[in-house]
Amino acid sequence: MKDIDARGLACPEPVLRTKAALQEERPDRVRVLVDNAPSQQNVQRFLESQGFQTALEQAGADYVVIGQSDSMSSVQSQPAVETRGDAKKIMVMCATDRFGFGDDELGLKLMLNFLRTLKEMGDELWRLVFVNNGVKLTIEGSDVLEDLKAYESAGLKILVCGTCLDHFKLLEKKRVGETTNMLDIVTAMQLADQVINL
Amino acid sequence: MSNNCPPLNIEPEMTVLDIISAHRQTEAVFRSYDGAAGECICCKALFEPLKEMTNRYGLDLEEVLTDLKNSEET
Repeated sequence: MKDIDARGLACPEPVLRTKAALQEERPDRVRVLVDNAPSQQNVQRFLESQGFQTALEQAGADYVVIGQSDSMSSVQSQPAVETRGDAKKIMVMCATDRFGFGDDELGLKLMLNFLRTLKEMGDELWRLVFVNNGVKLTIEGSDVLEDLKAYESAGLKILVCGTCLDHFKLLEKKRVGETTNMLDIVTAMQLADQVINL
Repeated sequence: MSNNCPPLNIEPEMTVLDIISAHRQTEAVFRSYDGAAGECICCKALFEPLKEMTNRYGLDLEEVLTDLKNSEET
């Protein structure tokens, strides 16, 4: 296991150090410690681009990105959705924390019910993406937080818009999902067989 | 331009990461465009090809390319 402590370093330095470590030592496992969300996202994305499966852990205010080369056994909490055979890939994008328009209270109830019922999609549910006001469903105190955590534990990849979290000043309050950027969202849209927008 | 070295070999198809990895001094050039981009380019567009990055942020590709190619090692 190669350990890289990149705390206190701004982008692109954590990625450059990770890249250098991979080139020089070719480790099968790497653990990168960073202290900001952009570095976490970039290191994770870089490792995945290099054929590593990644997992993310939170250590207080720090992030621990763990990468394991695809040639080795699976990383802890490896997303099961990536070994999904021929199942259709459905991406659900929630751009709001309310389902429909008209009555906010009803809209919230419907949204909670919708998210809880999504499990009926089974293996076809491939990505759950939260943008704009939808990111508020992923933070502490959200009524569906435990449901979303259960989805994530079951292997569903949940993406949460980092720009949106930052806009609402909720970066520190997110409790589920992977903070992501627009490029990842667009790429997911491109790869999905079906995109459902709310 | 006080640089006596030949311009760096940088192409529009190279990603921001590729460029900075190959020419460490170019990080300062990208940072100089953060204000115009409205956000940290190295944070938000590290994996984007230069051409796409400049297009996304409304930057002048040729101008950025020239600045990158002429950046001096510090």
